[in-house]
Amino acid sequence: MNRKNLKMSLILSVAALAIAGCGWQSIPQAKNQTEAALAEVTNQYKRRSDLVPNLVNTVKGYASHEQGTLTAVTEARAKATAINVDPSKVTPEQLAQFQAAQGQLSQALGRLMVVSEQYPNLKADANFRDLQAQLEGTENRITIARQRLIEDIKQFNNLITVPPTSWTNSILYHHDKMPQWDVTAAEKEQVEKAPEVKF
Amino acid sequence: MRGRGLQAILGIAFGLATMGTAAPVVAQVASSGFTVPALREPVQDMAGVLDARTKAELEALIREARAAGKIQLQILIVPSLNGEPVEQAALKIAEAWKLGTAKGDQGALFLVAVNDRKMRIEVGQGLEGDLPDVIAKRILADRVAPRFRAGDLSGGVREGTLRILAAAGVDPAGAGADAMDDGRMSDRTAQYVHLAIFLFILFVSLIGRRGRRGGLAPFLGGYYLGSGGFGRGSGWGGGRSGGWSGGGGGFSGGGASSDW
Repeated sequence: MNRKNLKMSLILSVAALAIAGCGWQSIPQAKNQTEAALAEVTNQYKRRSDLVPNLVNTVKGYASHEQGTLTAVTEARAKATAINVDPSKVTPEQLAQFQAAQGQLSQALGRLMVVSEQYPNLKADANFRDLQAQLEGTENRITIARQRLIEDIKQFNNLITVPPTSWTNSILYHHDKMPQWDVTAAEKEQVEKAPEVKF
Repeated sequence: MRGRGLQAILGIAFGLATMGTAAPVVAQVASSGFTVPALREPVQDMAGVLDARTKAELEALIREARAAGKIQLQILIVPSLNGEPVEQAALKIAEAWKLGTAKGDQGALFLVAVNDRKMRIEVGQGLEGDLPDVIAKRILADRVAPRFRAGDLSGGVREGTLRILAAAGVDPAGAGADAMDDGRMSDRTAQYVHLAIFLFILFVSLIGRRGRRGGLAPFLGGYYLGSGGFGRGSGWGGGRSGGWSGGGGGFSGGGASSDW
């Protein structure tokens, strides 16, 4: 065995480790993936917040004496938009706050939609129908973005807790397990008595 | 001696590496709900509600639109969703079939569940600008639902399909006349560009050879390894006739649902 062979073998073994799933690449990749997925979730929530002022104004035109419901939506939106989440350095507490605020907005919007059912003129308004379609589409996107985030967090947690990739994590990366995205208490309540929104 | 030790290390490394790849066993929980059928054709009528003429007409239009690089529209008509919400079922199908290209994401799915009286247009990420939720909703609620309510399923599907294609920029009258005008290079142009780059590198490396040995030849190999060489398809796969499959398009929940 000469020196050249030895060097070659060393390079080969490092390469073999690096290329085939020991986590050297897949752990950072999975982490980036969860960040991207969280960014998508916040992005879709932002999209929903952007719809709210228009929606409130349109409903106001037909149902001005539903002031309480309208104010609740506006306030919930203000609170939700006040919390910004930076996907790359978010703490579990921040995330819980964000979820709670968005859950409040979901609830307020749900009530607004129930109320709007009682106004036939509002329901026939073209602008309102368009906003409803957009809101419906955005809620669907939020659902999907959250499903994907949950799946990505699971993948990441698997990588850093299941051997052999967990060994690489404890030697190289020292990532902690990520808390799973949980449905907030407010949303759970809402799911139990989901408002039937007919379009 | 040292050689044997190294071999052992190599062996362990290899073992670990293969373990890593074998570890994530995907546990697919069989969900009760809707099972995605196999993708066979552009107009897949599994409830048998379309008349033969409409089906043939729509299929031709959809193939034209795809060949023009505008949209890969898929029509799926099923008897029932087995209790699954139409949004979830549509996403399952879209994710399984990967309609549209990986690059352009111009896929769209028009799903109709006859017995559930539910329908949905699922829009790929690349089409959300041309076919926003509002437009999808209007197509379903104003154009398709009235015909479905009157019992004209063929007419409703036809009308919906034409409207979706029109939103994606396909004129049903002269569809397919202007192929590939969406700003992407055609296959042929791409080949010429590759050829030009190839000749340029060859030229430079030949000149370089005069000075010092070796030249730029290695770059040549690198470039062509990276690009996949000549004749790389644009990913649209099946053309006017024959095979029909998805091209890797992504979906994130755009579109609209309606009942009738």
